[in-house]
Amino acid sequence: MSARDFQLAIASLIASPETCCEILTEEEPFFTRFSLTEKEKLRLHGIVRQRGISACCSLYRMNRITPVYSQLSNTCMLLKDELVPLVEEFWLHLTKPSLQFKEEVLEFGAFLTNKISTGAICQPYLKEVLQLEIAMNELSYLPEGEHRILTFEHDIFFVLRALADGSLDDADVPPSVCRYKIYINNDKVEMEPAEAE
Amino acid sequence: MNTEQLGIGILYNAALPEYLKEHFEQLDYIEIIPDMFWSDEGRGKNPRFRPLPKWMRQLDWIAGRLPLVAHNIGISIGTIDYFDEEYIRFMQKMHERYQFKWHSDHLSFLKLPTKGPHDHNAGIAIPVPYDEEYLEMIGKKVDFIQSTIEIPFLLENNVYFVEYPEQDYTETAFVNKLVKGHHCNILLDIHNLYTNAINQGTCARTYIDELDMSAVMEMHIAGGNDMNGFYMDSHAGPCPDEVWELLDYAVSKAPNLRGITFEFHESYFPLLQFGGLNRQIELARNTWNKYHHKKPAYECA
Ligand SMILES: [Fe+2]
Repeated sequence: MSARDFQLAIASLIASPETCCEILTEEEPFFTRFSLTEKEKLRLHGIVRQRGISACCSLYRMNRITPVYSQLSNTCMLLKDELVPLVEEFWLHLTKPSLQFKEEVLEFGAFLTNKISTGAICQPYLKEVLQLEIAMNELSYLPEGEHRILTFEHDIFFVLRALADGSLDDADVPPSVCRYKIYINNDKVEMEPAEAE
Repeated sequence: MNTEQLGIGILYNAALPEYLKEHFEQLDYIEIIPDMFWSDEGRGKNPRFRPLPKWMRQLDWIAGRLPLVAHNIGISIGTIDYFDEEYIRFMQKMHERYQFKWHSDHLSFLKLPTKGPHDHNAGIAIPVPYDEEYLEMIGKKVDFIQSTIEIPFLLENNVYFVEYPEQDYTETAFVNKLVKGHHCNILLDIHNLYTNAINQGTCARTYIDELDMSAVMEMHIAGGNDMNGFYMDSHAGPCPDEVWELLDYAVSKAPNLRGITFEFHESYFPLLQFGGLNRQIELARNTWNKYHHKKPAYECA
């Protein structure tokens, strides 16, 4: 077990600068979680004392935020300063990531949806932009021909344009309920008005 | 195994389709990260590996024009008590379809086993300790991989920011032992050597002098950038001058080199543009031609 635990221990250090500090200040709680030889404990001590451990932790965070940032880019732009604390909270909740883009994005999407429904985040267009990006993400893994029908409460094209040119904060987007069929055609996302239910 | 000399390649990414439409003739091969072309639905799922339609169309387009080389990120050869044989067998199927010239992965661990369908991903490739125990464990996996997929298998040298105290071997001694005992080959990442030299104060030329360069079949070149006092292997655009100098030194000592691959991250494409990419390929080709200008005999016949 010990070499396997050693790898788990290193991975948990890289995933959390707080855990690295835990070893430096009070080593026992950390080491009781793993079955390690004396040599392995010494190695972990050696590692957390090297300045390079901070580069490992930064790299971990960059790699882990990449799927979310690349697949939910408009959602991230809308969240602004709220993004990093939310992502950190999500990482605390999902401590064993697969880092498959699909899984990570869906999990983070579900986490945000829950936050929106409980009123913990109240960015006005977030729900609509998020549901669009989640649908696009899902469709990218499916054969062309599959589609999603989404209902928006504002002109979603107006919202996305204003977000892209930085004018969304000052914009007055009138409510306008509409349904769209979202699908992928020749590698491009297409949206067309859908019949009412 | 007699593997043909290819020349200059590029690591495929999402920014490349437009470039390749106009410039694929400037390249001798494309290296792909196969894991990008399918999603792993998890152990026990049928099918477990589901091709991503858009990406597969791009792959088929390339495969009709250039030889392919596979560079995996998912074998996680250094993980203790873990070996995903199903993944290797799926790679064999991909090889049957795309006829990779060789394939490779990193001398590190990335995945950690779980009881569920998906592995826990460590988030960064973590170098293995260069110990006897790891040598034996990795050697067995290399044997399995080479008996399942009958093309050369290469292991890539690591970038590291921390060093394990008291290891049994240096990285070069460890790699040389793997090469000698298990007949695998080496993917020498020149930019990784440069990154380690800056961050760890190691000597890249000494590394090259110590390594069994006859086993080096491929080299990687790339650029990087500074972050919080470290030089990162971020594949951030063009190669620094020092990487070109090191490449020249390494190529001069690698008689069995088959290809030099330029790696860049797609987010740096706006920095490179078509012209910048062509320039990197041209510089790599100059070095290649200096030492490997002879075509294999069968091509001259
Ligand atoms: Fe590399």
